[in-house]
Amino acid sequence: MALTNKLTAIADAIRAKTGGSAALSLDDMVTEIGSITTGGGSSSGLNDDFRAYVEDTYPQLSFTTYTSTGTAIRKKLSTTNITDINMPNLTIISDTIPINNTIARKLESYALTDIENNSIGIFSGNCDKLELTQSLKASYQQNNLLYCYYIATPNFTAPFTIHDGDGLKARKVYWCSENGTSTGTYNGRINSTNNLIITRTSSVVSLSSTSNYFNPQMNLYVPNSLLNNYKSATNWSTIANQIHAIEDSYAELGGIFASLDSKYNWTTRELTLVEKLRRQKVRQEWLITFNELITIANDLADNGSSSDYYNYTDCLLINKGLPIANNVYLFITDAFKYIDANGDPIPLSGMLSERDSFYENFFVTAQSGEAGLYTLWGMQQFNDTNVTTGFYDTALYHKMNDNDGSLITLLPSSFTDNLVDFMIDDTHTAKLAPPTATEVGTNSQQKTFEIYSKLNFLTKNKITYIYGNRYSQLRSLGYTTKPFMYLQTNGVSNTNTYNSTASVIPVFALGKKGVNNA
Amino acid sequence: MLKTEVVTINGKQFVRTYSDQEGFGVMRDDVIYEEAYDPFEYSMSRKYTEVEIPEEEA
Repeated sequence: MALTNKLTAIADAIRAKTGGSAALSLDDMVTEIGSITTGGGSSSGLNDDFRAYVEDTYPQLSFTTYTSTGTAIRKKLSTTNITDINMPNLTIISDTIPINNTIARKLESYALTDIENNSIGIFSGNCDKLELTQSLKASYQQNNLLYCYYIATPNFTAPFTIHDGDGLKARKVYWCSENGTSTGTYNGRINSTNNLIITRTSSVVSLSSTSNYFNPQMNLYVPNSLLNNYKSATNWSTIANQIHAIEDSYAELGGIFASLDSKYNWTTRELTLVEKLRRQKVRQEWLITFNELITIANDLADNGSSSDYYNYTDCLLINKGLPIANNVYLFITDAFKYIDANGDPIPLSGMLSERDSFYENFFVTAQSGEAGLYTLWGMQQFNDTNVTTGFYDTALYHKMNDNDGSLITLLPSSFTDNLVDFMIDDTHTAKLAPPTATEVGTNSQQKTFEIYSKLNFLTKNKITYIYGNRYSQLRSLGYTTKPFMYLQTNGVSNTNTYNSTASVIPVFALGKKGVNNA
Repeated sequence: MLKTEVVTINGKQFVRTYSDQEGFGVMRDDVIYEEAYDPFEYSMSRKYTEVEIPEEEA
């Protein structure tokens, strides 16, 4: 954070404490701080760890007394390091400047009832937990959004009322209940943009109306145990033919209900590589660490129930037909397995050699700045004969071509400038070595690669960079039997110039040690 | 006043239960609906009462 911004933040925080609005000089700040008598603690709102806030490292917010948000709080909410927001007494978010681009994955509020003139963009990707115990009103303004692609574990203990079709802008609502209890009551209206809802609550979620903001074409996926209940439920019954059991719908949902291979023999070297990432100031939450992988594997081995990582399983359910997001990632490793229609696990590497129905839907997308667990999106165009030109011609493709199980990791754009710089032209297709300094000159491609080399994330000469490839070309290169990573960045045109504003999200793939992928 | 009518949606008969008063809906088992569509076969077992919809849900 630049010094000016820090000072502004300090001044904002002081004003938030004192209720003042005047500009503050440095001397004023000293005076104002000295006059604050309530100090820190949970009763004062903006205070808990001010130094940490200034340093942008504070992980969790607790607003206990505020009833509205001023600039200071907005800035705190917009701080990118925040992962949890707990606002037990916050009753209204009212600010003309949207709270955007934060990456908080949890929001808990026990009093929030209104969102005015704001866009709570904190769920711009996955939302692990949304707990709002009051009836939340989102007004008519376009920007009044709880903006998320997933609500994985909502806990609406009071009716969630949407006054406008845009009140809850969630393309997909995953109505999961963390502990299998029915805490969700969607007694509001279905946004017409919601074309798919998956509910995993243990009892039927009521639907108040089919006339307002209801998309009669939507599909609803429910636990098999509740299928008949939903088909006969009030209002839901009008779309009975579009209600499906999740367990019977893996194919429709994208054919993937992946689980991590709990028997995967993770090596010490792989763990070491992950730890290197962590030491390189890559924020931990951008990575799945070795231990987290183990946790996920263990949880999923237990059918994913009662797990903090339960959501991630849901993230592997994919909906066809949704528009592809700006940043598209394909992440496949042998660590994941595809569960076929018979419930049998099939390694994804095996699936990759099969027909396109699989590929059509296996995409991992994430939002700019989003933490590194992924949102999966369907992509129907993805096949041999119908490739979206702009999609592939602008692709950056990293193929793991390592025979000793190395780790490929893409760093956040803030760290590497931009990973789109990795893109090289068609002449490098199938080249088994990264571009040399001569080939790429002194531009940032080389610079980026040097960063990688220094970090020893990639083993030089074992990475293939391919640009301008198409699906058939990828297959001809034999990727179908190998773990690989595919990445497309936002806004990159089909030229050799790259969009410097494109965002890159760190993802990683792990290969199996000892498997010859070459 | 509580109103009911039989409607056909996608070839299937439903009983629509609603209130003819503005701002009112119907309630069954403590759940408020703006209007309720139930499969015809449930018309006898699902009984509603007229209820004013709380303002925040209107």
